[in-house]
Amino acid sequence: MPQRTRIKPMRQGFPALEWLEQASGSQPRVMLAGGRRAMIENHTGIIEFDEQRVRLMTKQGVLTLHGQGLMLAEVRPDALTVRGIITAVELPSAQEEDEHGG
Amino acid sequence: MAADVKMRLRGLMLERFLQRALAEGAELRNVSRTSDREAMFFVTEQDSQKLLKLAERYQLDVAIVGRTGRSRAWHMLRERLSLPIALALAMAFMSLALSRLWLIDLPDDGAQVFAQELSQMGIRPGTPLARLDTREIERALYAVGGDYAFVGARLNGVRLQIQSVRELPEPDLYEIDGARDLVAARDGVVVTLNAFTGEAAVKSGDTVRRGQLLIRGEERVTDDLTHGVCALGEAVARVWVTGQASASIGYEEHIPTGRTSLESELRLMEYSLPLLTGTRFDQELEQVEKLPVGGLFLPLQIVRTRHIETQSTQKYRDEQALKAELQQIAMDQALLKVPSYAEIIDKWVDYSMIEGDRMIARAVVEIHQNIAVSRSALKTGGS
Repeated sequence: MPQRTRIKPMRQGFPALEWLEQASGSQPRVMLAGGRRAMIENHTGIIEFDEQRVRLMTKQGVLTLHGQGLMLAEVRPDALTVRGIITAVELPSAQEEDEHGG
Repeated sequence: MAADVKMRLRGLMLERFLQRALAEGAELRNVSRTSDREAMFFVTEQDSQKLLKLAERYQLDVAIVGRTGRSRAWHMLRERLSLPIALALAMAFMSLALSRLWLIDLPDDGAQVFAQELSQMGIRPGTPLARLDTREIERALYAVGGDYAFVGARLNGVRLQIQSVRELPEPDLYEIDGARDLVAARDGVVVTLNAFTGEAAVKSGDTVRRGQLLIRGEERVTDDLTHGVCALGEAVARVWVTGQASASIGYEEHIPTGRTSLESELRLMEYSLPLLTGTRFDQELEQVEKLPVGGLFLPLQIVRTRHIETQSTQKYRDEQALKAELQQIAMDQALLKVPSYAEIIDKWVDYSMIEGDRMIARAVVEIHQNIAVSRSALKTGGS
């Protein structure tokens, strides 16, 4: 049986396609405001949260925010606002991205 | 809508519940983890109901722990629904009560006549204030009052105040050219007599009776001829005014024997319904209590009468104390009769006994008073 090969979408060099992906809502979007507030769009669920860490599921993997005194200021089905002292944002790795079919 | 409802979530998988809440379309605010197994958050009133149902479905510990803002105010109002109704009723009752007349102040002098006239005019406690015309009331009361110089009606809140002033008696007027005599206003012994015009008919030391001529209103022109003049003068006489008081030395004292009986009835105006029948005693004292049942405006009341059996005992008062008491009363009565312009010369009290146990005190006040009045003033009772 011939081995099936997954074909990666050709994004590099095609800005129009990147814009299309963003617009379609498949990619998570993180907006930071001065390290005190972060707005995450296109998440698919909350995996874990406490005062030091917030882990969110996205279509491309797990998005993690590290900090102190973190709280979910606003939680909506499509977006989420984290408030507190945000020290690091850990984006889904390329490998994770592949695993999640990005 | 603002997220005014504070909720508490307890459990092992808090994130899973949040996920389910998001799937239901709920929006959460200020989600903070207070411990490993507890989180607090705020939602709208509508979403709080969604979450409670969700918690019930999955048997999770979710509870409303507080409310703020409009949600709290709304819940307070719902819990105290009777308060605004009671306030509205109280306001309505107050406005009704304050729009009516409840008190009528009448002067001591003429109170009965004024009260009767007001009653005929339909003015009584409970009459709407809008119906009252104080000018009309003044006119009506002045008309029925007779000898009043002033009758005033004034509305002060829910109180109608009636004020009146009696007319002053007309002074003794005389015509200088009209002939008149001066006669004695009362019995007495003449002390001094000064005839300014006219001729003196009595002299000092004479005893005179009421109506006796004191100064004749005529003057002699010649030996044979006299002509009438207006007699003027002053006849100061020694006169006496008296006051009397009496009381029995013995009296009956009613001492309770200790036996009592209670009876009560429900009374609505002249109708009554007995509630409890009591025993009446041959000699008894009664204590009556009236307890309103329907409040101020319904004349329904429970009338409770307590019959207290008593035993009569004949007792005697202290004679000296009784004398002092009667002396005071008799003297007060006598002094009331003394005119303000008279001079008090002497006063004393006599005591006597009548019918065995009755003491009479008679106070006499001797005064000097001008007793010369015109015949017309004597007829009208002037002095």
